[in-house]
Formats: sequence, structure tokens, C-alpha cells
Amino acid sequence: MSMFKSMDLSASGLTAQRQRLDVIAENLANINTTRTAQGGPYKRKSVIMEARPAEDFDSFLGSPEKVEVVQITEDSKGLVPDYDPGHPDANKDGTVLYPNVNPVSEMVHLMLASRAYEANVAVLRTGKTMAQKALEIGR
Amino acid sequence: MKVMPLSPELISPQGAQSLEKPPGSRQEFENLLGKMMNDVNQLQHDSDQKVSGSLLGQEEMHTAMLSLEKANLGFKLLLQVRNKMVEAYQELARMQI
Repeated sequence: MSMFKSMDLSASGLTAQRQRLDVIAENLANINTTRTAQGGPYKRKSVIMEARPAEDFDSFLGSPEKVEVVQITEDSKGLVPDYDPGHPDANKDGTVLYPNVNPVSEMVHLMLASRAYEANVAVLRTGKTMAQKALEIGR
Repeated sequence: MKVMPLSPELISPQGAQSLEKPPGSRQEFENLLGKMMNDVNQLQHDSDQKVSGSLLGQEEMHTAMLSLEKANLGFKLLLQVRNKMVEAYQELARMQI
């Protein structure tokens, strides 16, 4: 049914924002991590979202597009050096590189993700109410 | 003045034809209703699976809620169709002959 199409689109938005929240949680959890499996400090991650046609094979026919997280990228710029010669991860100059995670910007992204999730839920709720109102016509 | 006698052709030349149902309409409605019931059943099975999946941590929570809503709406639509049908039947049963 065509009403469920808007529900599916909103569901893709909800999934994308959930994944964004996961990445933000990862960034904030690793805000002081100085060693990783790849070596070096933890690097801030961010999600890349892409519009994908909701149905297969008719992307060129103007079908609605849902959102999908296609990639999670690492940002290796702006690692924060701190002078701490006693730290086991300090280099020969005595500086330790800390992750480039900024708690303020992460909190802003967190609120944005939360609001975007809420907006998608609002769309869903409106769609549901519209369908229920349509069923009330016959009453 | 001459009074013409009434004949069935004069009363309603096309009345007899309009009562004839279009061919296969009952079958079509039956098929439609059956398909709709199957769809609603499928939606409910899906939502069952999604709910257990999300309880087991394999699915996202909102997909379970969404499929529950879909099943709910589909069932409500089916119920309205059924109500209309019963209403029409009762209207016919009340008809004085």
C-alpha cells in the first residue's frame, strides 16, 4: 500500500539517525583513548549518508529516495598533543597525542541526531493519523 | 382522450438490463477480499517476526513498532470493509418485499 511507502522512507531516516547516534557514542566513549588496534590515538568518526532509491530498478523513474549510511569515515586531522613524559604512549619528545574528539561539537551532533529522529517519528505519526482519519470516513 | 395501457416495455425499457450484474464482478470482489485477508495475515506474521527479532537484538526497535503499526492499519482497513459489507447485507435484509 502506498501509505506504507512514506513509513518505509521515515524508517530509513530512523535507522540512519540511530547509526549516527552509535558513532557519536563511540566518539564520546573514546574521548581519551590513546591506543587503538591500528596504532596511534583514536580518530573521530563521522557518518556519510546517501540518498538511495526506495525501490530497485526504477531510480530513473523518479521513485522516492530513502537515506542510507554508506560509509563511516575517520578524521585524522587535529589530534591534540599533550606534554606528559610519564605516559606509556608518549613519544621521544614526551608528548602524547589525544583524539581529535571535541565534546562540544559531539554534543551538538547528538542533539541534531535526536531532533532528526524526532522529526522522522513526527512524520510517521502524522502518516498514521492520516490513514486512521481516512478509515473514519466510512463511519 | 385515449388512455394508453401500460406495458412492461413502457415502464422501464432498460430497467431489466441494469439489474444484470457485470460479468465476473462477484468473483472479482471475492478475490479482492481474499487477497486483502492474505496481505493482512502476512503483515501480522511479519510483525511477529520483527518483534521477536528486536527482542533478540537482531532488528532495530523502530522496525518492530513500524511493522506493528502496518499490521494494525491493515487490519483496521479490512475491518472497515467487512463492516460496510455487513451493513449492506443488513440493509437488504430489512427491505420490505
